[in-house]
Amino acid sequence: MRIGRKTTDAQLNAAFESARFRMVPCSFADAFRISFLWNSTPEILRNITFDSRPRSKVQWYRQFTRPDGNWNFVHGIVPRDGTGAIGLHIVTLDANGVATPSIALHAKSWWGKGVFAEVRRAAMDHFFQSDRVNKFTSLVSGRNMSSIFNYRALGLSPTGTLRQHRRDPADGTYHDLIIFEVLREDWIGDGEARS
Amino acid sequence: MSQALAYELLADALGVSVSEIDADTAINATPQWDSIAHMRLILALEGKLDRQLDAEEIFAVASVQDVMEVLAARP
Repeated sequence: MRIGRKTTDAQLNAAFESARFRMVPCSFADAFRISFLWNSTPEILRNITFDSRPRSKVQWYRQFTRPDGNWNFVHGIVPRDGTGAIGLHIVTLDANGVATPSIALHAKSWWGKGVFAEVRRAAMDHFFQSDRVNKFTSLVSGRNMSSIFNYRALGLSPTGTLRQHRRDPADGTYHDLIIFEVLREDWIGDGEARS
Repeated sequence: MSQALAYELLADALGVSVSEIDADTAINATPQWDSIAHMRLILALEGKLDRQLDAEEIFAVASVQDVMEVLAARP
């Protein structure tokens, strides 16, 4: 994997590590190639985009986050004892210092093995080192049970619920979204929220 | 009744025998209680209750006691 364009925030765009994984910055080409694998897994599409319908390559090309190394950061999740990425960790940062993360694993053999919590904890440690990042916030579908579990495992509590805030066009059902947030000041260095 | 059913549902979700479930079985104290097990448990509870749990309930289920309370509250 390589950095596809000149970065403007070398600190945030740098690779970071956890016990089992290296998170390596992706070019757009790498990010597109890896993320398009999600297209065959409705659960991932629903959890990431709130729309489980498969997309064409053109639709995905238009929709997928473009890593720019400054506001949009896409890291491949690579096992230390392997060579290929098993998924992606994505952070979109805004001018208010709010970071919105997402994570998906196309390698189903890694599902249920604590990857989310380990990678997200490492990502928060990494991003909170920068003064540009003041808060992580995430909207999670009320039906995304694994993410709800994982945020709990990270020590985060919901700060609110947006009722019937997303409609899945695939089946017409409405879904609550749960707001999870953690402030930089509430994040301890070892990766646990204070409350 | 709720306790026996709660133990049974938890054992199935965690992939262990009922004899391994006790009052201390909880999300932060039971290694088998991972994200997949949590999903299995919630789906099993919804099957017994014949309704979907809301987001707060999904978050709140974190111990065998919580499972018993959800089951006890069913109409």
